[in-house]
Amino acid sequence: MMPTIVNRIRKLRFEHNEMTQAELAAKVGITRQTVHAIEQNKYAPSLETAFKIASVFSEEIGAVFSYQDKLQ
Amino acid sequence: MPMSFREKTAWISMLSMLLVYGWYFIGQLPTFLARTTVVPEITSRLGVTIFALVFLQIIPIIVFSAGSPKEAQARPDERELMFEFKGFRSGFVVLVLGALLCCVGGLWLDISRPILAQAILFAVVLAEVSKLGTQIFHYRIGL
Repeated sequence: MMPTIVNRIRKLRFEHNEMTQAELAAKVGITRQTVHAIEQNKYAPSLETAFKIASVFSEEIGAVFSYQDKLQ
Repeated sequence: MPMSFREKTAWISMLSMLLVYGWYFIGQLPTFLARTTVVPEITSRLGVTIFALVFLQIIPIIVFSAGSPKEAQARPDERELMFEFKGFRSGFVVLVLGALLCCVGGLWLDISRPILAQAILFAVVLAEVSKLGTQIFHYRIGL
């Protein structure tokens, strides 16, 4: 099984005045479809994008993204 | 999930290429089989093909750009660039295979120059369709 990177973006968006995917995408400089793919754990963003996303929510990167080994 | 602007343009490019070059190559098939390819005929048919391709690709892209100007002007993001690279990789493989087959045909199968030129064009079209198809595949599975 492949390990995966999971995230709390959906929850954090909700906590930040129900920010839409489009709003987050505009702030980070990616497309709404990419935000959707990241939220669904279908796409692992680059380190730079991960930092930008964490910065939008004023969180540390580890509070937004975490590594999960599916074997565990 | 609604399509992004770039996915729409990939669909437009692929469908228009399949339609227009499909018409071109199917129309040329009888002359290929009879080995009676006539260069002026190829030239005129190719001219129509290129004109139709430009028309079929540009008009819908202008319409979609007008509908979402921000998306149309935005640079591709990292995920879209990754799809583009994957598309180029598959297109390159197809193009190399096509080029090798054309080399074999040109060197050992006594194929005429017009037919060889058509075979090269076919390889280029297949490579482009493969590139766009790969991009669309990745957009659709939502990787």
